[in-house]
Amino acid sequence: MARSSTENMITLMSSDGEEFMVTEKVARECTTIRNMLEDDCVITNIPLPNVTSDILSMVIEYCMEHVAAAEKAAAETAEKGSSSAPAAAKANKDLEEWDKAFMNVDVYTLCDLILAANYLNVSGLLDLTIQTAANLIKGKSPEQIRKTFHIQNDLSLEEEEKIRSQTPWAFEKSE
Amino acid sequence: MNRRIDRISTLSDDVLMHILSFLRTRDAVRTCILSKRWRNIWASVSVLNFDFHYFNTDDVQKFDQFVIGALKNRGSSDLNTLIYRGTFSKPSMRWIPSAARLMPLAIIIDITVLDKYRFPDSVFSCASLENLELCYFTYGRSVIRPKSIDLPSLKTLKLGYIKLEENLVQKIFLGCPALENLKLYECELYITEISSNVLKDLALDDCWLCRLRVQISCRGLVSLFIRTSIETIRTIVLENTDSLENACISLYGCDQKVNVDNVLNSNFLSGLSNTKNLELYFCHLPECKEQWVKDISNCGIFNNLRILKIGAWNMVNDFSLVACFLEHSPLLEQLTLRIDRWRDIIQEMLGQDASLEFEQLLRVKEVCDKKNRLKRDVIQEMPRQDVSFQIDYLDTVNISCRKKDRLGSKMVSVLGQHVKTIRNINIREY
Repeated sequence: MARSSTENMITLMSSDGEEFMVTEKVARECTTIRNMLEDDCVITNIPLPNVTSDILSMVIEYCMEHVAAAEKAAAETAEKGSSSAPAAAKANKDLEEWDKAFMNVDVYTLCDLILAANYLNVSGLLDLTIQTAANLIKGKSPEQIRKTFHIQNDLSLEEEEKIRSQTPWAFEKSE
Repeated sequence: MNRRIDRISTLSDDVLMHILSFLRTRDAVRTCILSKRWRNIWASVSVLNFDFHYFNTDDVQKFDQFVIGALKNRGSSDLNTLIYRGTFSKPSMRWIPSAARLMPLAIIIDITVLDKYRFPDSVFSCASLENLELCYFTYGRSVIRPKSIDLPSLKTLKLGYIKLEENLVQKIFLGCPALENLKLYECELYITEISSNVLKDLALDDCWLCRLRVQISCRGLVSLFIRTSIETIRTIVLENTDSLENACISLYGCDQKVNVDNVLNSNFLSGLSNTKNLELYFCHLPECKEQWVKDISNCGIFNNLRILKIGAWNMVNDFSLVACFLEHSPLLEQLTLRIDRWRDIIQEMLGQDASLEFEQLLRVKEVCDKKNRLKRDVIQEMPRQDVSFQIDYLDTVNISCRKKDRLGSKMVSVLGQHVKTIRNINIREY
């Protein structure tokens, strides 16, 4: 990624004290940080007590990739007057592939990423992670979902039976 | 760190509801027995998505019980969107009143009904609705006859496969005073007028226009989309289009030969002369082309036109159309041409054998070329010597054409002879 030396750098500090230097542009991908910068434009050091360093580094990686893709598209538009449709379609597809590969994480990390995306308000990452989690639930039986997410069933058999009998419309008899 | 512990259940209710909102309600509801934590999460999700196709049963009654059960057992938090889809011999729409009580912003109904059925009025009086989509397919166009329509907040209305008569359209515009976007697709229109001062966006997609004249008169209209046959477009009269900025008109052929003299409105295009962005897609009908060229000339000048896209089969024959547009659009900045031709030329030669794949057509063409039977080096007729374009701003030309079709670059060189300001040329082959 091309980076001019005059570009403002922001330091983000994770909950475990690690510091990440990012360009202001990358930091602004997080709406929460963007709002902070708009309230106080001289701020250069932002502590993020809710995000651990391993998750923060992933969020930054996501933001950098998406900023770079947007910059590349903008540069092509400026150069050619308009972006050519096939190039834009390919770039979109590449980014989608990148997102897909980026989502190849265990469910624990996925949940942490959802939390971070929600807290930092990175809308693209939030949609991506929520959709990924939804896909893990879609079409699965309760037992399969519990297994996927390591959910402990703390309902007694009687309680579970009671819920089923209270909501007969929701479950098929065979289940 | 133990990564096999249950992390998802520690997320906040809001986040879990967000996840469930991405699922069909059947899947969302069934999370209620995962554990105590999940017992009531589904009940506050702001999206309900009922899809009969997604059920393991073809028992409509069971589906109906599910829908009613979910609405009844759901909490009272506001509903954002309700989606209802399926193919039924007879649907049960008794869910609508309970849904309306939850103040939904959007209702999307997408149903196919096989038996005789009277569509209920209740959805047309849901006061909170901002967005209503009703795709209602039956054999033959579907009829809805609401006694009255009262949707004071409605901004967007999409109707599909519905028969629209004068009476219904009047009720729609009277009953939806805030209606800004109207999209009608695959509808049958028995109306002579679409008139509103509030409408900003109108789309008539593949509708049957059954009257000889339809007047569209919407003072605030910004965007217009029409896809119809090259014949019926001439039944449409555009009035009061001063604010119209974007128009996309897509025309396909019809089986009968068009007798241009018989059509009422000889100049549909004049209503588009204020647009900034104009997209026109024609199929190849040479007998109509001359009429279009005449129409463009009669429109006077397209004074605001900056971006023009034209797509046509056999554009070579229609280049005069492009030339004519250029003559009448002094401020044009961007021109996009989409060229299709081989399939049509060859189909003309072979008769209408549309079953051939494109690759096969290519081979046929090669053989034909060799035998010199395809004596249309159509390019020769392209440059019009009498054309002089007063175009000072056109700097970008995009052309998309079939692979190996050299027509694209030939077109560019023709344009280059006439327009000196072109800086960017993008040729896209497909």
